[in-house]
Amino acid sequence: MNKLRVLSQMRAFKALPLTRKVSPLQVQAVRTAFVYTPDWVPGKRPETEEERIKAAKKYNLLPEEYEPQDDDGFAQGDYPKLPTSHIDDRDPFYPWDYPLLRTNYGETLPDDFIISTYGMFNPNEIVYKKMPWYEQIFKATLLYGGLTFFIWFFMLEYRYYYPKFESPLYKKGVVHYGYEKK
Amino acid sequence: MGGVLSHQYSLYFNRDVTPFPPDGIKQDPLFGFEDRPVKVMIATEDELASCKVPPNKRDYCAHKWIEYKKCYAENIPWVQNCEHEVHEYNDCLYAELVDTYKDYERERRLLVRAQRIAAKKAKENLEE
Repeated sequence: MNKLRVLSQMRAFKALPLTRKVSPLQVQAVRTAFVYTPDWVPGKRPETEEERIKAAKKYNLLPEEYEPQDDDGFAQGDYPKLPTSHIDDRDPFYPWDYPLLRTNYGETLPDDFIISTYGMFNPNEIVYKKMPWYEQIFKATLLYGGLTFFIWFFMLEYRYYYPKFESPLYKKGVVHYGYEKK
Repeated sequence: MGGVLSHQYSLYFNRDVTPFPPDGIKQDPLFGFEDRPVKVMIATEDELASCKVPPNKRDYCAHKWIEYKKCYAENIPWVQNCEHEVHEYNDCLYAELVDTYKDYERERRLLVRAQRIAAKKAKENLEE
């Protein structure tokens, strides 16, 4: 048995001295037997209170926390009904026991955890839509027009002036003086 | 005449001795002159009206502008013949421009002078 346990950790096609006497088919049988361990399969759906408490204990839950999945034909035995949590929705700064999975030791995971890992679709993800072109133009006009209006209306004294007065225009009765006789 | 950047600096930090350009001339234009030449408008009002001189061109170079436009109308499309008239008009405009700069500098220096006299007076009052 111990030998088989060691074998199950090895690759089937690797010919090591220990595995000489065992055929690759045997090794593969041990490896596949592991995932068919009945401990990994959900049990029967709990009917009585006693079965409920037993199932809760099996999944590291308190009896009042445990709730079987809805009996709509898709329920997976006694597996508990847990809220969906995508890995992107889990806090990346929390000191998780397994930071890559963002899970804790002994944590009861929802049944869809395997399809809620990194890179998979997240229905709760917030995707921002691009502004339509007319909204962009409208908002840009508001922004730049508002800035221009602000400068034109409130900042008259802070404009750029040359050190000169305006050239005098002729007006009847008004005398303008020059500097040189012509 | 000051540089434009230094003028901007003065507008911010020495506002009391820096005239604000849109305000125009405020000091007495004859102060310190014996006989200051008066600008003469050579084009008459009838000429201005009949030649349809636009309002922003009715300055003391209007007669040059009229000459230039007359030459232009006579020589079109060989308007390069009016090169001389254009040159004359531009020279006149430049002389006007220089006068505006001189006006501004005179205004500024009068303000500085007034401030200096006031400071001197205050100092004398303190000593008394």
